[in-house]
Amino acid sequence: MRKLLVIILLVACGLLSACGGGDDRIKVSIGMWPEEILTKDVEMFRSWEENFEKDYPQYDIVPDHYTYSPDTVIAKATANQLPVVFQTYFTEPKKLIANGFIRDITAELQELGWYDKMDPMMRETLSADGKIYGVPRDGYGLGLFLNLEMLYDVGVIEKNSDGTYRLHDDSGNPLYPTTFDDIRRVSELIVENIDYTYGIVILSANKNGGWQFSNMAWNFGCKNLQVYRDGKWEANLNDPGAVRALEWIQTMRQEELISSDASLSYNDWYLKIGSKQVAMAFCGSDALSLPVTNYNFPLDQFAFVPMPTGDGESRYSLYGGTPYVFSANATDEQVKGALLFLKYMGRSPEVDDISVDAMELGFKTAQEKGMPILPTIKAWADPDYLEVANELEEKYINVNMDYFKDFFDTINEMKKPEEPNYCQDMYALLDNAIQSILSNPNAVAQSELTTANAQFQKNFLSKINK
Amino acid sequence: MENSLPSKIIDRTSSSYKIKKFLRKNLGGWLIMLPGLALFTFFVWKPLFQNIILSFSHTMGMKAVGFAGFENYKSVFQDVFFIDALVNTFKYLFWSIIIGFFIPIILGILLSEVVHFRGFFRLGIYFPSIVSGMAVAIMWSYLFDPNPGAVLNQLLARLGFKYSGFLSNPKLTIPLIILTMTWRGAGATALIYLSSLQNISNSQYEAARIDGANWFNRLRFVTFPHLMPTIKLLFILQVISVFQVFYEPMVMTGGGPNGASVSLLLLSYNYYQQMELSKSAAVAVILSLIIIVLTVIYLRLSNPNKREAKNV
Amino acid sequence: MFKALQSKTNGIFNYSDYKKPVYKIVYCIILFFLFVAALTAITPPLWLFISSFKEASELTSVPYRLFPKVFDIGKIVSVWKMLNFGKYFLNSIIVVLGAVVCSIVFNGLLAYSFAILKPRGYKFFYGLVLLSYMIPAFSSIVPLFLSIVDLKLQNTFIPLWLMFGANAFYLMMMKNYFESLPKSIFEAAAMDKCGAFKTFFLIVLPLSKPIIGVVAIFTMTAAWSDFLLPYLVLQDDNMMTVIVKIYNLKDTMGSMQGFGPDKLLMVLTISIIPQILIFLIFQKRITASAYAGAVKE
Repeated sequence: MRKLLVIILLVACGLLSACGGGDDRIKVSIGMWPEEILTKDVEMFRSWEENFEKDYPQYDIVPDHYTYSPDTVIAKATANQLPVVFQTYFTEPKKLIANGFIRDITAELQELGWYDKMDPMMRETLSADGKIYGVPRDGYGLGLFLNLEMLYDVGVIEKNSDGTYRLHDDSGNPLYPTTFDDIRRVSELIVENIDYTYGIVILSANKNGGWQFSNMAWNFGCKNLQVYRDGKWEANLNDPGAVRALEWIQTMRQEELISSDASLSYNDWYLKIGSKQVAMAFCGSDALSLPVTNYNFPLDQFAFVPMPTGDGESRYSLYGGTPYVFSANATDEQVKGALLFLKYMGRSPEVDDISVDAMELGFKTAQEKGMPILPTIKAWADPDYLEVANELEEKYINVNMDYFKDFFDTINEMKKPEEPNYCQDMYALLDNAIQSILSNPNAVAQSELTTANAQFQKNFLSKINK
Repeated sequence: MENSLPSKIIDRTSSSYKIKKFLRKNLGGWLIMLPGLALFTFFVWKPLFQNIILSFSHTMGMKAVGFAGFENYKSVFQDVFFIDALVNTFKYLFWSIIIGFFIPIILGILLSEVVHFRGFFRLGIYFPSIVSGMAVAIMWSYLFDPNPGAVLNQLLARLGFKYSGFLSNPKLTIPLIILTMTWRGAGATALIYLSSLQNISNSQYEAARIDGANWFNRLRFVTFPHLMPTIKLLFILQVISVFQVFYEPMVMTGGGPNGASVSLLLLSYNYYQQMELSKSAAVAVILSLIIIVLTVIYLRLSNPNKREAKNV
Repeated sequence: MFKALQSKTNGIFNYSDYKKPVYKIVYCIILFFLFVAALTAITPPLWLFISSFKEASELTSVPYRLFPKVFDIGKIVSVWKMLNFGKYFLNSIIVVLGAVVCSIVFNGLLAYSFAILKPRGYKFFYGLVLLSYMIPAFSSIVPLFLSIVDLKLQNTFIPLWLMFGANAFYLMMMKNYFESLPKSIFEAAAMDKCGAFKTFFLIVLPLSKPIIGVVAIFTMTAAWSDFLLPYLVLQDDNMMTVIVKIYNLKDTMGSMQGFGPDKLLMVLTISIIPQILIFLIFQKRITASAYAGAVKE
C-alpha cells in the first residue's frame, strides 16, 4: 500500500513539473498590448499574435499591458516587472538609459537590417554613445487644432456650397491664423461673440506647458533653448525669442483670452476643445483622434494646421515620436522576438505580405472604431516602405484632406527635434515660468525666464558639463 | 511524617535556578513580542535606516551605488523648491490652525449643546471622513475648476462676484487645500471633542452658575479647562500630520502654481519621479528630523515631568 | 420644539437659561450653524453623485445645469462593466480583511507584552515604537519596496496585510485598554498554569471586544484608502485595489480611448457608494469608536 502511494506521488510530481515547466518557448511580454475593454484592438493584436506564433513557434507572446508613467517605471524596473517591449515618451529614453532601465538593441537592429532604414532624426534621438535604445513607432509634429464650427460662427473661415468649410481664400491664402498675432485677433472674436469661452488653450503643467512653450519660443525667433559652445552646454531659456513668447502669453492672459488655470496638462486640451470652451489648441499630430474617441467630437468639424509664427520667419514644428523601448532585463532572444513581433504588427520597415497585411488590419480596425484616419509621420525613411505606407494611407483616409493638407505638406520643412538634454526637466522649469505669468499679474517675463535659465544651468546642464 | 517533605529539594539560591526563573519569566514575553517586533523592524526601522543610507549615497534607479557624503543634502538645500516647500509648510500650518483647528472645537461645543437632530448632525459631519482621501482630493479639484463655466464660478457669478482662479491663484492655493482637508477631517475631530465634553459633570456648571458666572465665563472656566488635554493632544497630532501633507497637493495642484503649494513630502516624491532617489531620501530624512524635534519640544513644554511624557 | 429644552440639565446652557427668549434665539442660531455644517459636509459628494451621470460635454456646459439631461442609471453598470470594476473591489476587500486580522493579532500581541507581560528590556522597544509614530510613513516607502522585492513579495497582498501589524497608533490604543483590564484575571490564569500565548487568545481577546471593534474599524478605513504602498507593490492590473486603480485612471486618462472625465467621476462615485453603505449600516459603532480612541488618553 505504501509503495503504491509513493509511486502515485512520484508520478503526480512528474506530471505537475511537466505541466509547469514544459513550456520552453521564449516569453515575449508586450507592453503595447491593448486593455481588455478595447475589444477591437485586442482582436487585432490576437490575430497578429496568431500569425506570428505560427511562423515562429519558439516564441510565446504574452499580453502585458503597460501605460508608461515616470512614477511606475521605477518600481516596475526595480521589481523586474517591465515588459520586454513597451511604449514610452520620446524624451524618456535618456533618463531610462542613465538609470539602467532599458537596454541597447543595436546588434539586433543591425542584424535585421532595420538600423539603416530608420528616419535619421529619430534615430539620433534614440541613441546614446553610438548605441541605439529604441524603435520609433511613428512621429508627431506639433500643430494647431481648430474647432471649425466656432471659427465659422465668428466669421474667420467660410463654408463651401456643400457644407464643408473653406480654409483658404480664392488666391489660396489661408484664412486660418498663421501668426501668433492672428491667434490673438481670432481669440478676441471668439471671446466677444461666444459666452464663457477662451480663444486657445495654453498648457501650463505636468511639463506639457514647457513642451509646447519650447515650440512657441522657437517660432518667436529663439534658435535653440540649449546651446553647445566651446565644449560646454549652455542654457538659453531667456533668449529674446523665448521672452517674446512668454510675453505673448502674458498679454493673452491680461486680455482674458486664455484661461488662468495653471494646472492644464495634455489631458485637458481635448477636454476644452471637445466641450467648446476654446476654439484652438496646440497638440501633436498623433493625438488628433482623442477628441473624437473621448468626446464624440465630429470627424468633420476640426482641422489641423501648421504652427503659427511669431516673428514672421521662424516656422518650426516640435518633432518627436513614440518609441518602443526594451527592458534592461530582457535577453537577446527576447529582444529579437519582440522586434520580429513588431514586424507582424506592421511597425517595421519591411514591406512583405505579412507586414502589409498587418498594416491593413491596423487601418481596418481604426476604421471600424470610427477613428479619424490621418496621414502619419513615418518612423522609417526607406523609400520602398514609404511608397507602400503612403499608398495604404491614401486608401483609408476618412477625413477631408483640405483640413489637413497644409500641415502634412509642410511638416518636413518645419520639423525640429526636441532639445537634446534633460528635456523633461527643462519643460518643468518652463512650466513654472508659465504658471507664474498666469497667476501673478506683476510677473515679468524676462526675469521669470532668467530664473528658470539659471536653475536649468545649475541643476541639470552642469551635470553633463563636468 | 516523612511524606510532608517534597520529593525534590530545590535549591533556591543557586545561579542556575535564578537563570531558569529569569528565563521562565521573560522568555514567554520575548517570544510574544517577536512577531510584532519583526514587523516593526521590517516595515519601520529597517527602511528608516536604509533611507538614511540612501540619502548619503549616489543612486542608479533604486539602488545605492556609491558614497556621496553630504552632496545630496547640499543640492537639496540649494534647490529653490526646497525653500518653497519649507515656507509652504509653515503656511500650511498657519492656515490649518486658523481654519482646521478651531472649527472642530466649535462644532464639538455646538453639538454638545443641542438636543434636537443630534443623530443627524453627528452623522452628517462625520460623513466626509469615511470617504477616501484620494476621492476627496479628486472631487474637490473638479469643484475648484477655474474655468468661468464651472460650478462654483457660476455660483459666484450669480452672487455677483467675479470668477475665481481658485487653485491657480497662488494666494488661494494653500488655504483651499487646507479647506479640503478640513472638510474631510473636521467631523471626526469634532466627535472626539464631543465625547470629552460629555464627560463634564453637571455639578461643575452648577457650581459656576452659583458663583454667578455668565455663559462666557462658564465656557472659559469649565468647558475649556476640561478640554485642554484633548486640545493639546490633538494640536500636536494635527501639526505632525500637516507637516506630512502630500495627497492633496499631489492630486490637486502638482505643487503649483510655480511651487506655491509644494510640500516637503511632495518634493520628495517629485525627486522620485525625476529618478533622483537619493535626494528623495534626503528630503524624507530632513522631514523626519524636523517632526521628531518638534514633538520632543512640544512634549517637554507641556509635560515638564519626563516620565509623564512617555505615557502619551 | 422648545419643550425638549426644558429638561436639559447639563452643558453651558440649561433649562433655566432657555426660559429667557434671548437664549431661545441663541439656540436657534446654534441649530442653524450645525445645519450649515452638516449640509456643507453632504453637498459635495451629492454634487459628485449627480454630476457623474452627465455626459462629458455637460460637465462644464454653459449655462451650468445642475442635473444631467438624461439620468441614466445604467451608466453605473456600463462603466462598471467597461472597467471590470468587480475585481478591484474584490482586491480591496481582500486587502482590508487581511489587514484587520494582522492589525489585531500583531499589534495586540505586542501591546499585550508591553502592557501585561513586561519582559525585561521592554521599555527599549516601547520607546522605539513611540519613535516610529513620528516618522512619516511615506519616507520609508522606497527602501521598504526594495526589501519587498528582495523577498519576491511584489505584486502580492502579503506586504499590505502585514503593514498594518506594525502600527503604533493601534498598538497604543490596545495597550491602554489592556492596562485597564482587572489584574485578577491574569493572576487567575497564571494559577491555572495558562501560558502567555493561551492567555492572550483565550482570555484577553474575548474581553477586549470594544477595543477590537475600534481598531477594526480604523483599520478598515485606512486599509481601503491606502494608496502609496499598494501603488508601488501592486503592479499587475489584476491585483490593483480600487484606490490605486482610480489614480491610475486619472493619470492615464489622456491616452485612453473612450474614457473621458465623466467616466472618472462615475468611477469616483462607484468607489464611494460602498463606503457610504457600510457607514450607514454601522453608524453607531463607527461614531462611537471615533471618540473611543481619545477617551483613553
